[in-house]
Parts: sequence; C-alpha cells; structure tokens
Amino acid sequence: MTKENNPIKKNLIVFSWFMFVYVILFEFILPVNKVIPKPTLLFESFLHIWRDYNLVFAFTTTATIIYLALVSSWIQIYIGVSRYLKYYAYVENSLDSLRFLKYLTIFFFIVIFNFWFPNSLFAEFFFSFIISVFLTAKKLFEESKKVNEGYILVARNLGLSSYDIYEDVYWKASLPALSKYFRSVHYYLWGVVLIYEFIGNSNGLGSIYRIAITYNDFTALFVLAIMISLLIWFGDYLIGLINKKTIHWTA
Amino acid sequence: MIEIKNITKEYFTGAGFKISVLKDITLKVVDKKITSVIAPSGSGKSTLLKIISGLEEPTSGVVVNPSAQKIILIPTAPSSFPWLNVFDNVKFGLNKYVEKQIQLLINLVGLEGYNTFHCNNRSLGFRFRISLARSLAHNPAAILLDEPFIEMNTQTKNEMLLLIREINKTLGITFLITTSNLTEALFLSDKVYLMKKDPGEIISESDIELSTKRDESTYSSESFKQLRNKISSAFEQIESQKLVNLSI
Repeated sequence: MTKENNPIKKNLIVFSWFMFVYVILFEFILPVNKVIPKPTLLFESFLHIWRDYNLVFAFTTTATIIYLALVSSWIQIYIGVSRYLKYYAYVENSLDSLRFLKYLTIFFFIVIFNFWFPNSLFAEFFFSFIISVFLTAKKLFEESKKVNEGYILVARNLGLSSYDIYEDVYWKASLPALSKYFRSVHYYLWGVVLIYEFIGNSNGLGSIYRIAITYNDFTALFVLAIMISLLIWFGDYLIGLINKKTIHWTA
Repeated sequence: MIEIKNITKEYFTGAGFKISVLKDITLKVVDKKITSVIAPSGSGKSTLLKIISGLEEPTSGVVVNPSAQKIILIPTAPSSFPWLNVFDNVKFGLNKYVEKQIQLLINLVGLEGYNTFHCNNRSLGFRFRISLARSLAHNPAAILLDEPFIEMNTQTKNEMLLLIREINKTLGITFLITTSNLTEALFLSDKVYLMKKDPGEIISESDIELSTKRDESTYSSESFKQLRNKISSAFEQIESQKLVNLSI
C-alpha cells in the first residue's frame, strides 16, 4: 500500500475538510439556522445531554436489546441450522404464499407490537430477535441453494446423515455470505429498534428522539445521531473483526 | 470386481417428455485395475458414476459390489472443503481414525507438511490431492473419478496422472474414471470402454496393452499412437466422435 493510497489518511483528509467547512459555515457565516446546529452549541450539548435526557440508561437499554437480539438469533440459527434447513425444504412452497405480508411493511408490525405490548422491554427484545432470526434464516435459505454440488455429493457419498450434511456442509458453505450479511442485519436492526422505541415512547434512544422533538431540541437530535452512529460504527467494526478472525474461506 | 449390469436411466421433463440418459450400460470394474469410460460431454458420465456410487437410483439395472467397502466418488468440481485444513479434510466422514494412517495418506498424495493448510484459493491439483487422500482414508472398494482433469493445466494434469498410476500400483486401489479425453484415458487405464451419447450407451471395450510402467515418454511411443488411432477410429463410426478430445 503506497502512502498516497492509504485509506485512513484519505478519510482523515476528507473529514478534516468537512469539519473545516462546517465550522466556518455554521459558526461564523450562518450561526442561526434550522438546518445544522452551531459547532459550539453541539459541543456543549454533548456534555449536557447525558444528564438532561438520562442518556446512559437509554443507551444501555437500546444497545442491550440490539446486541442481545443479534447474538441470540445467531446462536439460535447455529443450534437449529439442520432443523431450519430440513423444514424449509418442506414448507418452502407454503412460505411463498405468505409473500403478501411484505406489503404490510415493517412499520405496521412495529406499531401492532407496540399496541399489543405497550412499555414492554421484553416485547421489544422479542420483536428484535424475531426480525434478526427472520433475516438471517432467509439469507441462510438463499445461500443453501448455492452450495457447490460437489461438497454435498461427497458428504452423502461418505455416508453422513442429512443432519450432519446440513451442519457440516450447508452451514459452513453458507457462513461467508451469511456473516457478511449479518452486518446488514445489524444496521437494519438499529433502524427497526429506534423506530420501535420512537413509536412506543417509553424506553431507549428512540424515545429520547421523541422527547427531543417534543421539546424542539434541535441540537439534541444531532448529538444523538452522532452518538448512535459511533455506536453503530463500533458494532459494525466488531462484527467485521469477528468475521475476519473466524471465517477465512470463501465457498 | 464391481459389475454394472444393464443400467438404464430415464427421466421425464416438466413437459412430460421421456429423456433417456443411459441405455443398458453393462461394464466390469476389475479389482486393482484402472478402468476408463471415454465419452463425449453430455453423454451421462456423471449420472453413471452417481448411480455406481449409490447417489442416484437407476431406472433399471443393478450395481453389484461384492465387498462391504464403499465406492467413493470424486466429482468434477473441487470437493475438498475450504473451511477445513488438509488433515481435517482427509479424516472427514470417519468416525474412527488412526492419526498415523491419515498422515501416511497425506504424505502419499504429496501433501507432506501441509496438514494445517487450508485449500481455499489453492490450485486444483492441491484440492484434488486432498480429495484423493480422503477417498483412500475410507478404504474404498473403488474410487470413481468424474472428469478429474478437465480444468487442470498440463503440468498438474501430468502429475495427477502419474499419482493415480502410482496409487493404483502401490496400494492396489481400483479406479473407474470417466473422461472425454482419449489420450489421458489411454495413458491411465488398463481397460477402456467407449460410450456414445443420446442416449449414453457402451459401444465397445478394449484392454490397453501398454507397458505397466508409464511416464511422459509413453505418449510418443509407437504402440500408444497406434492404440489411440485404433480407438479414435471407433468413434468415427458415430456422430459424437467430434466431441472426444484427442489432445494431451
């Protein structure tokens, strides 16, 4: 990697330029506006928002729900991979007839869950878990259809049971694509949980957003966005790191 | 000796048309010998091997395997698992194994020192060696190779041809190979069957009367050339001959 192509340096330069333009534009030229808050105001808000909105508790709640749902859905898929794949073969056609559900949109399901279980952290976790399992399992089914026929022939020929073939061949062959996709599940789940909390208006960062909008706290919206994006970036980095350390093959 | 008796394979298309893939295939896979089936692409070679290895049911006919050992198939597509290292690939599917024996097989196929290497992004030759060692680990009645060299470069292919000959001679392993390449079949085999397509049907069989010790000079020997001409002329009788590859 040459010095000129160093992506970190390149990103730093772009970021510095962005910051420079932002400070000049919104600190000195347009200090009062409703588009982007003034840098000094934003900086002050970073300190006050923790106390004003009980942010530690909100952060802990939202992050726990998201990452617990992600981890438990992965464990669930891993433990039940053979059953998932076996039963999918039986119900594949029936599932097709449920495709109309996608037109209801995720928003409807969030609203109805909030209606059924108001102010319930467990319901929020359960909803996130279901979404995560659904997305991961869907990807697993798609990937299982692309597994190299040679692997399956060999496993069958060597006398492995269908359960062993699902676990030792289908699962392993699908893992590279599945783990890559899991990063998308992570992003998606953040969006879903924030909307869930925003609608429920009781727990987590989503409800903080709602309070900030109610109080017309323009700066808080930006501070929250920056904090959440940092957390998502860190989660994404962690998932990427785990993938890199554990999945070293391409199927 | 494994006997394939009157194997026929037919299936129906979605539109209800009957397609005959294999018709009345009868052949013998002699113990400790290398037998080849030479046939053009699309003649049902892979289907035949799947039936012999028990992975597919024939419409009619039987495969007689008098031994209790498995018939192992190595498919055309690389079949060593990229998520396992060489050692784990070789012992794949074994409930019990002796580490020393696995090591001996790894050494035999020329992968000594590569136990912990993964086959991901490695050459086809590397992956084929793993598949070969894994098949040997199951102490097979026969190893079936489905177009094994089709995507290999000439150097790798020559190495693999010699390796198969060596394993056959030293361990007495029975091989059945399907190929569309006449030259590699003649070089490897003790017996060849010629199969035509539409439907796949055996049209002749020949014993290969070449010296058992074969190396790269075999290709240029007079007896090899004569044999190749004789067998390729058999294909000239049928339309599918153009599909048989005569290159080295």
